[in-house]
Amino acid sequence: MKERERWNSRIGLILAMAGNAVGLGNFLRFPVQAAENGGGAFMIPYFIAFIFLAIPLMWVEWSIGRFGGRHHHGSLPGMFDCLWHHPISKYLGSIGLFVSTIIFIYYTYIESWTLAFSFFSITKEYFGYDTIEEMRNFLGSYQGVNEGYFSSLSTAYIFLIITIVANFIILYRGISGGIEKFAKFALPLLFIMGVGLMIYVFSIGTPNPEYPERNVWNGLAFIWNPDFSKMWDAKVWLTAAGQVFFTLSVGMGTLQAYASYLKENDDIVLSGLSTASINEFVEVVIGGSIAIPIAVAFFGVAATISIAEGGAFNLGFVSLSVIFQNIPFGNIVGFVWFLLLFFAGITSSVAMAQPLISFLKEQFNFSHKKAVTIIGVGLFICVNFVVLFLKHGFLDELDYWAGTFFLVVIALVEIIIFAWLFGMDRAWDEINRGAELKTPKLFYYIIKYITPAYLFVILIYWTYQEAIPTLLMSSKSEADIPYLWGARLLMVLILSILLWMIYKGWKINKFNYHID
Amino acid sequence: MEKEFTLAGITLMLVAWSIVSLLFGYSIYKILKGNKVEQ
Repeated sequence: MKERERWNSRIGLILAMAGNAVGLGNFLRFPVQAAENGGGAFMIPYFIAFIFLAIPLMWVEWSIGRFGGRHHHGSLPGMFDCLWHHPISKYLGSIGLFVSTIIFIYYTYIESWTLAFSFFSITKEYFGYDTIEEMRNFLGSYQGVNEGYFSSLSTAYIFLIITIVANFIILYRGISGGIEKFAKFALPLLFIMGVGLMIYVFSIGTPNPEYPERNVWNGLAFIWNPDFSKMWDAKVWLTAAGQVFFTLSVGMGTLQAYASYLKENDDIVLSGLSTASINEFVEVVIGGSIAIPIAVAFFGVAATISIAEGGAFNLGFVSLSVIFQNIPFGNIVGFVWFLLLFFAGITSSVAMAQPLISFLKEQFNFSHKKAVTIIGVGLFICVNFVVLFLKHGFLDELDYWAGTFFLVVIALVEIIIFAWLFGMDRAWDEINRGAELKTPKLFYYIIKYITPAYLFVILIYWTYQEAIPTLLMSSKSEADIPYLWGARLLMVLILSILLWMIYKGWKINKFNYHID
Repeated sequence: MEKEFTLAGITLMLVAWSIVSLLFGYSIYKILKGNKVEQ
């Protein structure tokens, strides 16, 4: 058995993990969620979810990953099999591979938009489209959703190919030579760009003296002024839990994949906490201080609410692109903003490919380069459906099931396997192996009882609130329904292939890693 | 529609920023101090 690759340095590992967690959601989703759900009061359920849900899950996923890596597994099927010696466990792990693979497919396309808009900003390509409607049209024509500035999808394809190539250059070089090296460069740069943009936004003040109430401080007030009446609304608590859950990239199998390259006694308590704290700093301090405050300063609160209701991309791509046309050095500020989103995206997308790369290498004895090439070709084939059928909601359908619903399913399954079937005493020893920080004993009980209960409530609520209507396609137009079935067919096909590969992989490699 | 930044809003913002900044600073400090796994 070949020696597994390792992270070269602890700081590189933490930056790669943080890069995995920091994504577009930190800059676009968080401020919208906070503003819509009680402002400053939202932070109370947010921090409670951070303590009872995010931190425990972070430690659980790092522990599962390190444990799996010790038994030569870098993806959830093998990890679950080691933790729970039951024939079904490896098949349960297929959901982890499924989720990361599907998200990787459509996320790469979204990532390519940020690269394109970074380029369009510096070249002033969209300058002149200075109303929300015109800018929406510009973005729509780029995506092939409507007629407009771009007459075909060729530009979108060029940036998509550049993005795929960039991802694969990083992945090709492996964990320490590719992902770690890139994270060491990209994360500090992302941090500098974020703080720079934040300072720039604060310096804008009141851009139009005719509307003195439209200013950055009222933008911050929009996010932070508390509405404590919302605290009694269960939906706000679940939204906060959902935000915390998504922002840390738990439930995807990617943290476990990265953690599988740790050594047996490498600390995970402090490293996991560091990763979570970097992500939270970027989200709460930087993410909350750019998009919404600048939108309020230019459009006012009422228009910002309407923009935000149109979704995070409406805020990030459309309204901010209008603003960049009306501020000094707007093309440079726009370039930095979209490049920041691109770096946030690419450090996450390379993580999404990792579980499948590990799986192919470990179960089918593929070389690293062969595994990366196969995934590259597969990605390029599958992403075409997302590109061509975007306007019919193909991407949204993939995102709902793989990027929302099944994340909670995986988190619930893994915590039950880890804390209950593997056993909480062994799980606790695993978490604390090599730990530099002593984990408070309280977390023993949180991990065993509170986090699974929290996840169970979220899952039941979302199933009732969203999954059933989404499954029934109750609010979809007739014209889109065949494409949404197409998206489901693609997901079923990929899941079936993964299940078959697990079956074959276990037959080829009759591993006996059940070492206790 | 526009609301002035209230004292409660400023306080909550500063408290939230302080919590995440302290957590961030503390964990980075511990890592740089410990440097246990660094090779």
